[in-house]
Amino acid sequence: MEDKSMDMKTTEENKVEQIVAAEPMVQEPADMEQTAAQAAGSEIPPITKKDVNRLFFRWYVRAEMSNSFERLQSLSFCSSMVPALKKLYPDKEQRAEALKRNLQFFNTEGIFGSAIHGTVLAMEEQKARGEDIPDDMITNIKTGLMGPMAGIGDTLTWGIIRPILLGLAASFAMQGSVLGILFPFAFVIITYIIGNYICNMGYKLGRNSVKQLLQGGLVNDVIYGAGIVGMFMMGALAASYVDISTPLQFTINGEEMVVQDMLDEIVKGLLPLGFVAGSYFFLKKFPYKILWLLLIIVAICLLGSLTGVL
Amino acid sequence: MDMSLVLFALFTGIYYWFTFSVIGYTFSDAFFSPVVVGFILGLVLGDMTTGLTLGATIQLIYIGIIGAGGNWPADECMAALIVVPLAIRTGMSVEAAAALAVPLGLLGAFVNNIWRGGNTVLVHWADKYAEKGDEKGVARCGFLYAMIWSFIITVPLMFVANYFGASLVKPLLGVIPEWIMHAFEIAGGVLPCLGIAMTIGLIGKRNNFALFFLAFFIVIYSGVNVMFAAIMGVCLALTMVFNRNKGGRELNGR
Repeated sequence: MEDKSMDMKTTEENKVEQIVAAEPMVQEPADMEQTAAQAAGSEIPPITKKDVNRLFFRWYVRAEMSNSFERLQSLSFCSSMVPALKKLYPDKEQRAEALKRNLQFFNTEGIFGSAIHGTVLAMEEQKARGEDIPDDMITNIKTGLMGPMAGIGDTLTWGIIRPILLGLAASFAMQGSVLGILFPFAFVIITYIIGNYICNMGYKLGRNSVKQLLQGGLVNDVIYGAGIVGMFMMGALAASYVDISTPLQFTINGEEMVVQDMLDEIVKGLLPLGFVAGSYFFLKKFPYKILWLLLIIVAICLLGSLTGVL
Repeated sequence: MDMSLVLFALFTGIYYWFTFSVIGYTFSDAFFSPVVVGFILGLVLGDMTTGLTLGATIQLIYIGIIGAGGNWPADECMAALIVVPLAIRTGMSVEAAAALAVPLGLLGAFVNNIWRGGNTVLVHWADKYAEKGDEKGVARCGFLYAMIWSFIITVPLMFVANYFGASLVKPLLGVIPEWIMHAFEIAGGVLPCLGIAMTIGLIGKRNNFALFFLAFFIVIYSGVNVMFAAIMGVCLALTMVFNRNKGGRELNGR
């Protein structure tokens, strides 16, 4: 056991694996006889479901409110933990330590990342009750989980759920239908319910939650299925709303040749598909250069308009 | 001074402040959506059809564009808040107005960077409160002070844009050559390809790539609407997920 806790302190490198490796440490102290510290800890009121819901609500409200270049969501994280920490650490000095511990660098996706809040709350509770949980361990688990949870969350929340709902919103609004505005609000309700559930799950399962979440078949199935709906929707949106055609026409031997009609005879939708494919390969080659891609497309439009090709 | 214009400009400023502060992770995102902005401004200015269609067009330009690591490459809400009133009050075409949303969205991203630079100061204040064990101070930095700071950089900017916007842009519209306006209109039509490509890059895998083309050609050839395509996509996904699990279990000998 000692060796493993030393490992934890070396930090960095495959933090998730460390978390998994450090797992047995949780159960061990719980089985031990009550120490003096634990006796003191037992006076602390238990964390209820209400506290966890409140934690998620606070996080949900302020997740991005104080996002800064230096520590991104660290202030939001700490600020959302405040009522829970106040409950767990009646002693002012201990509370100051806890606040500082929870103010360290943090950045993840807010909906699925809330599993981390639940996990950290579970660990803080154990610590407050006198179990031997080093500060480093809480921080390491937090930083180790940020990346994987952001990966899952960015894909599901922002890469799939949001574009699908906003695509539907736009398709209704395009026809002047007020129903379109319902979809952005559906996004709010759906993501809040998911986030609250995930946060509670994180608290209940403690440190194990991560392993179960990341390795479990359910997450894989959800990502697989959502990927299918997402790709299907993207195809439908590209066909419906990437709107481009060429007005070019030639006269050969007195016969009018309309270029767009000729293209349509081969395969319909070649130009929109070409622009999507071009953008896709550009972003594959130069990820994060979206601003450049935007400028290139605008330049192509200017050139096309000037020459009469587009 | 036109009182109704002052009130309107102030309203857009406060609206922008609200969405910019991101009160509620996805809650403010709903108000951030150009469709909702278009609806609300259309309602206020008395031209809901233009508001909704223009909002939808701007929405589509930015659809699928996500901020990886919290870096928003463009701010479609700011774009919509300036462009929708502009289109309704100057009577410019929806396509041309939507294209104007492109440079304005970039300006919005710039404002966002300034805001996050300023937030660094708040984290340092929070450090000091935490040192003293003052949890109320930490919470204040995360909410109240953050709100005050975002007020400072959003409301005046949006107020100026909407107070002077239409009167500045209207004479300009007459001067811009026809081919540039036409290029803007083309850009408004073609730019959704950008966010779509970005989303495909994020979620596209070998096992679902063909479905993009399937949906694309179904819609291109049959012209079915997007809602129908969404329903089809969900049915397809459910079928494939359940079949995959069945196959997996058989492979595992269960």
